[in-house]
Amino acid sequence: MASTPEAEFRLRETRRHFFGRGARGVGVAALGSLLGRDLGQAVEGTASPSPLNGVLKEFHVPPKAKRVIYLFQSGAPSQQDLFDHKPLLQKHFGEDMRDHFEMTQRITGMTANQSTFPLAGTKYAFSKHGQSGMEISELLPHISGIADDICLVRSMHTEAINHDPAITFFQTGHQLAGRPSIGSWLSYGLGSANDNLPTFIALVSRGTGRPNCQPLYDRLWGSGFLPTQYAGVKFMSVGDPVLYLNNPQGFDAGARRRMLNDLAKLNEKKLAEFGDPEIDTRIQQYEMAYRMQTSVPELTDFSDEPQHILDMYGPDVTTRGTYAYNCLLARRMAERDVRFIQLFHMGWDQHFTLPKQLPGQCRDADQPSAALIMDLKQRGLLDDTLVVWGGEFGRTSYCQGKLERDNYGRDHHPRCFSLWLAGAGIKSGLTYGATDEWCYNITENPVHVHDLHATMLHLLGIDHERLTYRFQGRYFRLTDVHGHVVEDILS
Amino acid sequence: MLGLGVVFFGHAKDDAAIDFNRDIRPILSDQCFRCHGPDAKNQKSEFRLDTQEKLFADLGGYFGVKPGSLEDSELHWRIRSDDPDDQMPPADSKRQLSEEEKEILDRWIQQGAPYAKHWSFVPPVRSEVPSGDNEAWNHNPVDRFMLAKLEQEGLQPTPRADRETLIRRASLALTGLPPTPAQVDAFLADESENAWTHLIDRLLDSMDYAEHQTLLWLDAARYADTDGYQNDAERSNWPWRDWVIRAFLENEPFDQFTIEQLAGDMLPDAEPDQILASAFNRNHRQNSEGGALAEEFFVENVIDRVETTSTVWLGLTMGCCRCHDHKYDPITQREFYQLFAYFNNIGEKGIGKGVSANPVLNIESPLRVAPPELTQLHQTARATVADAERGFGSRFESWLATALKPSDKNSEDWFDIEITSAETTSGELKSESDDTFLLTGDAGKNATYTLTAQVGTRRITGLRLDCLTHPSFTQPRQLARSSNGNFVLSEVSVTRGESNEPVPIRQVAATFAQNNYPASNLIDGKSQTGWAIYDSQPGSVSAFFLFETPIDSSDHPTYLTVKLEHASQFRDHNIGRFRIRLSDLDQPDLEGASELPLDVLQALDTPTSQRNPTQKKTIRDHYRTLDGPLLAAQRELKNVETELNSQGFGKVPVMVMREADGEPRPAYFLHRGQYTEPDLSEPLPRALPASLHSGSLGDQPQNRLELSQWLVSAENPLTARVIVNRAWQSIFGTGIVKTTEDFGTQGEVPSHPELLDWLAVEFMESGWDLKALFRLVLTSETFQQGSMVDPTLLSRDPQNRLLARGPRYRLDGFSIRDCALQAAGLLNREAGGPPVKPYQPPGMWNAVNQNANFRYTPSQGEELYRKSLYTYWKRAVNPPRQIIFDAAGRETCNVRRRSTNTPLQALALMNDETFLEAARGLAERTLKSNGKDGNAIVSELYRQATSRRADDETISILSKNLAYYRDHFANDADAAKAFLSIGESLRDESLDLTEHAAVTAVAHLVLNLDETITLE
Repeated sequence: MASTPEAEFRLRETRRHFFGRGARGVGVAALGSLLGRDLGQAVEGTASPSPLNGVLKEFHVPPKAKRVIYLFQSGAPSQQDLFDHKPLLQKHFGEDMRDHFEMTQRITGMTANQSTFPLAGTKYAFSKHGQSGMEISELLPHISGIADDICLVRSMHTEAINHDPAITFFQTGHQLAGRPSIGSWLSYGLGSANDNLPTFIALVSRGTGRPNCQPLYDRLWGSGFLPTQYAGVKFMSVGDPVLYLNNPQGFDAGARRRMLNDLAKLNEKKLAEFGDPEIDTRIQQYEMAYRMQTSVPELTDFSDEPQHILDMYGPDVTTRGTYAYNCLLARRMAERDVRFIQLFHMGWDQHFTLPKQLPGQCRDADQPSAALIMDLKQRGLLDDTLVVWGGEFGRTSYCQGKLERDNYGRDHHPRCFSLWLAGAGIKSGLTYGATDEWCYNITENPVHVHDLHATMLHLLGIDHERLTYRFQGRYFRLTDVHGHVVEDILS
Repeated sequence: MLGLGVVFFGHAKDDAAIDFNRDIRPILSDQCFRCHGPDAKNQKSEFRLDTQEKLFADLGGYFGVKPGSLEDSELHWRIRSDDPDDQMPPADSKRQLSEEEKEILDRWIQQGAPYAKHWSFVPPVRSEVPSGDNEAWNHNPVDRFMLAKLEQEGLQPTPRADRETLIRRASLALTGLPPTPAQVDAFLADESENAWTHLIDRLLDSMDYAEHQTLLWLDAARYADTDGYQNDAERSNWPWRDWVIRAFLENEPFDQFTIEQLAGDMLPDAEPDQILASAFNRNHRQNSEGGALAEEFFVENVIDRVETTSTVWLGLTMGCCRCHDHKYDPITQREFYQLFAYFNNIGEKGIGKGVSANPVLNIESPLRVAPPELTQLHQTARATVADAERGFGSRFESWLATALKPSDKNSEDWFDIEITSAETTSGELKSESDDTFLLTGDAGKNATYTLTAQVGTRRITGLRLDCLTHPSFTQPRQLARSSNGNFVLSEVSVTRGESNEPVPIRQVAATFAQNNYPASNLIDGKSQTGWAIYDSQPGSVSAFFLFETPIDSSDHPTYLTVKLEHASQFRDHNIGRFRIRLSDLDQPDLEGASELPLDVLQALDTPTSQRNPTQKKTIRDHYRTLDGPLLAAQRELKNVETELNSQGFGKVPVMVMREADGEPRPAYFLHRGQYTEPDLSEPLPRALPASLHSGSLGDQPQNRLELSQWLVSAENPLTARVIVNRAWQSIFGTGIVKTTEDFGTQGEVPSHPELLDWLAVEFMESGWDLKALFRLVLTSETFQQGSMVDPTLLSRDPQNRLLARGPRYRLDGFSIRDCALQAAGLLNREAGGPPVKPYQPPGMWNAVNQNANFRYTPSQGEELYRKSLYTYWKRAVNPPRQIIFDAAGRETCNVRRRSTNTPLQALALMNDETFLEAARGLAERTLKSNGKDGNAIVSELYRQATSRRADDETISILSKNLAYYRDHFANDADAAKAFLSIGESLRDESLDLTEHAAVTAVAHLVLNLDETITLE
């Protein structure tokens, strides 16, 4: 009986409802993991409560990471200009790619009709950094400075060629809408690690590179077919940080407390009459909401950050909605054991005038990204926090539109691109995988999106094949029927 | 049993007979079918368990299953084996049988291994209604089925709920709105025997019922107001939503409802409304991302249709078969693409914005009737156009007689003018010594130039734009910085003076225009069209604009603002160098200009007798763009229609199905479901999966219309069951089959299979009468039981699948808001029309786009209080209230009700201005009718929100609460004012400030009660 995760989960919920009467605190547990630890295990008589309160009873493999900060760079950063140096492109600058080899990839409608595919070597200088001599572009001086703390993967690949399917693929393991995002899988699998904040939080910022480029959909932090309590809570950059968090004007905390007290009395009366465990849960939810009204402002209040920390993240750090602000907020969330912290930073879609857009875009993202790593490190948090930095696909080595010496742009290229990871369980100072000298194909150690997902789950103690949810008669998982843990990059 | 976690659904007791469908197939399907099932690519051995023949086949001297004999049944040995080489399921499958499941499989073999086809693939027959001796539960067949099951389980039904509870329950279940206190009073006063049936009938006849059913249907139909990719462009499929409302209101038989939505376009002499109905399968997402590939998204759209149609009518998860044979159900990948073949033939392109994603039908809402004044205006405007059309022929002839070839002479008709400012939205306009302007810098795609021309007191009749060459531009044209020297100018507008008064233009002409880019495009109000000059002779080109009335500003000097907009998709297609000149003559010479595009010129050059029909049409069509009376009449008509549109009465483009003529587009097997990997060797014939339709190809539905007819035929075992089940879910919160989306072998077996079949047959035989179905269910005793949760019963049946008690569940987010608005007296019950935008926290759409025209602008006035059904549904950012309360995102089809219980829901009810404004409204109406008595006030608040009279304890708690807030606000008038100014509506200042604030606070509490947001 109940040999599947969902069945276990259901059974457990049933038990909770059953045992829940009169046992205060159990109601909270019934919520799954949006917020709140599962106290139900105590009621069920488990001697030593497991650190997990999601559907998984125990880790499948020993976990290295307790939490993830995913710095998603939306729009697709150009690997040729940032992470994957190709001198040959400069040597053959302006020559048609087809004169050198046969192009076999899908091409987007934006460049499919181009009469030429002129090779565009980067105009930026690369140099070696850190003990390992990791080669990184001059556009990323701060990230270059943490070269020994990161693992640079130059052999990422995906199938999607347009932004919307590609970002959806990265966040949900599937190109089309409808599947749960990575963070929801973790909420569902592992539950929450804190009492007062959401398990999974999403933050959005815009770079100056191309301010209005790729839109971000709710689905990217949505729960798909999983129950909605596993969805990410998006922090807003204007108004209340969490929707509807603050009390209305003219209604202070005292007025709110009185309202909640009497609300609880009446709901308790209802519970006594009807015995429906959902009422009990609701009473607990109002208390949790009240706690969030304190815990969220405390989280977003940077006044206790010393100046030298603020300086690390750069001048934008105190401006809400910037990447720098979100990076510092991410560190504060990590300290408070938010399990999955998903940043989205937009503006990396340089189809044209790349030299005009990219330096500014890098300036916005470079310093805060590096500061976050250093800040986590100095607090010992990098040991159990996994950080991922990267976009949804790569860019072409040929120029989109007219190629000039100082001006070029790049279309989408899913066959190879770069991404870096840092922190818990990751081999630092490693450059992994390689592409050919045209940056067209991967030549060694390809890492697919599914592989990245499998590896992330592995670091969190999960066998990606065993975290499943039954929907439409099928056991779904984040990695569909694919994915291999990339052992080589694990420390 | 798997996935159920419900005690009573446990397997048959030791002595009871095993039921194959209930007890055995779910185990086999879940644990074994992956490798020993229907997927041909994944059959690890000869042995298969998904058909009777294979299950009992002789495997060469031994048997998988030998009825009656454990000894001779390999299955028994394998599931009991500890040997890793023999053991089934194998250890590496990550599947495992429980001890109980092994027992059951063994017992099944011992009992002779009875077999049955999967229940849902066998057409339902009317089950025998169980007999019973419970007087009250004997009248309604629903009750007799339910009671029989309860008795079998040794349970008793719960006594009826009180009548206050019942009217609220029925109202919420059928309409999503609670009864008003007056409706409750009327019902309580009605002591007649038929009071309950009268109530149900009143509810079923209401617009509220139709709207509530529509809401559920919209989730299934993945209806939304935007396209759902990239910038999430707006679409206007809402007349289809209104069609659905009307269908539910009129109780259109469900079979007809089905056929019209799936194939209304193919009905003989299809009415516009029937074509409108077919928008059902055009509610899919639609990609217009730059660079998206048409073929890829064409395939996605068609697959979405197959999946949606399968889920909504068949309850089957066809999507699994896109990439491989179904792992559990008898459906092959090939059959999937045979179904695909019914839906791929509407001539769509696959990409582009929804509003223009052909086939598109311009149509008005079938629900909205325009007020007589507007209708009159519309008729008049149409008549004027018709008049203009009648006179068109003679005007055309006289124009043709004089239709001039361009003159070549130069004249002094045009003079230079001082341009005091020239701005561009990108790049830079450099003023040159010869009164020309040169574009420099990187202007990118879409530059708009704004020029100010000081005309002083001169009379001005027209303006010319000379586009000049520059040596730095690409030859041969050299007119722009683009790679081919061409430009596309989209729109030209002229305004005058500080007030920017528009200067209407009567005639446009150009010295050259490339095909499909005539100069007349410059003033058509559409930035997607434009004037371009691709194959012009080298040299300058000019465009001329003659004003409708001359500008005469003799009394005070004025200036003109000339706006040149480039909005094409082509890079750098901005005019590179130009000059502006003006004229004061009534008929200035258009120096070499002709308003005629190339193809018209060529046609005119051909002697009349030699013109072919196309050329004649070209000339005639061209004159249509010049004919003054016709243009004026059309403009007026357009104005009226714009007004009609803005009020939701006009025609808007709706994406519909329209079967293409001629040979159907072939469908192919797509390897791995990839559009790039079709098996072109064999076009697939349209056909249903063999498990659903065993007929030969000739007997198969030949097209989409016949497919829709088959779906609602008695031969189809699924549709009636699936629909009845969802109706049941909408009332009780859970379906008889809990997995409403999956009736396949991995779906949950029905809790009451006989009842489901009886209802399905009853539904079909009633003529697919939905209202009759609801009437039957709501008049049952089952529905009317009390919903108190007894602890013993809770442990036996935590999910209330046996219904030994009445339903109790939280309302959805739509209903919660509508209930609050109704209690507040704010609810606007206007039906149909374009979607509206109620309150939403700021900044929510920023993640999609920060441009001003992407910002969320709330509706105004009464539109703020429309029912939640009409809330604008943006796919990128769903309306927050609905989503927080578990609504589906409408990107894909959803038929399962979901319900969570989270702190975000508490926060929404605590702090969303919707509920605070509603609380103020509720307080206001209560104060106006109840004077100052605290007890009376709180009783009334409570009753408005919960439809029930408060008991003493409730009154006592609420009265003390009121007393607290009276004190609280008495000491803080500023807080009271602030608290009462939330929301767009204004507070009634005749009410005492403190009292109003205090009562609002109590009303706010009441709107947060569990009871207020729950159906019980």
